Amino acid sequence: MEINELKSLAKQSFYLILAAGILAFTVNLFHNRGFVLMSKESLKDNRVIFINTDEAKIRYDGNTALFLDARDPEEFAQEHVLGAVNLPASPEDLLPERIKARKNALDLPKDLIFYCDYKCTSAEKTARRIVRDGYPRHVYVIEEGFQEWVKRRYPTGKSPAVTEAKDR
Amino acid sequence: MSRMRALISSLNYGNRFVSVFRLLLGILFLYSGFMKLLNPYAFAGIIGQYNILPDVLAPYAALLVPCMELVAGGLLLLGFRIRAASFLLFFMMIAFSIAIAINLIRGASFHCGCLELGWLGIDESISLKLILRNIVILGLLWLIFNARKHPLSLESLIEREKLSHI
Repeated sequence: MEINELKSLAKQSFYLILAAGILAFTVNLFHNRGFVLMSKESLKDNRVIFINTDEAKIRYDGNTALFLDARDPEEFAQEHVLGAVNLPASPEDLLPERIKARKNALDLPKDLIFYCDYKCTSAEKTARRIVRDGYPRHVYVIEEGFQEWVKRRYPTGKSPAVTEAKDR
Repeated sequence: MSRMRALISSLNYGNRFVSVFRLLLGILFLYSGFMKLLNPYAFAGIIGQYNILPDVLAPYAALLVPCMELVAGGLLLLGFRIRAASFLLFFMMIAFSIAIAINLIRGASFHCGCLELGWLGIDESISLKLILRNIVILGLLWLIFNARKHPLSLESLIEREKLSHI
């Protein structure tokens, strides 16, 4: 490659990065969650890891994680992951109280796996809340939701809402 | 054998195959950049999980990386400034692969946040398979970078236009 060619490549690359930078700035300016100014602390919120149903099942089989159902108590009573604890995300203002009520379960030395229905936000919301509260272990969310767990015929149980982890 | 050699030299020179790769990669990077920009928070979290960049820089990277993918992907698709776009994407893919490799060695396991192809049933948790996929993309980017002619591109259209005036 000739020097001139290299120079022009470097120049073009620079302009390209500059264009990307301007775009990034503009996106940040108009993004509804105006973003770069977020603190290091709120970055911790994002340490929620999305996993698929099979990855969740591996952790279920290894008994290394506590499953938390973020759906309503009625849905939980109909069917849930066997051994899961119900921690409904709504209404939001009751969440801190609910988390406190499940303290014994959450204090177990286990990772947490949240789930709700497919494409729902309650599991993620609750998971972020727990991370923000400083939960020291991994916090996962099953991306495909509970339906996929049922579809794969993984173990489920039917019982009224429980707040404590049950031994499987 | 000679047909093989002809194909290689035609790929090197730039033929329709290279253009198809360019268009496909352009769409892929545009899509992946756009999806990441929809939720920069989540992408910053993923960058945080890689545990390579200082936390302070993660939010900035979470905006700049998707924008670079958008700009470079868009240029690849248009066929304008192709060499610079493929050059940048090439180095970005190398950086991503190194980041994945480091975390594989650390024994970490998380969603890679790379091309957002989970809806196609493609598992994007960090793995050796993902590095191999990146190597294939690197190969294609190299082909695009190396090619002298790019049919179906804005550059070739401009060149043809210039030549018609001579």
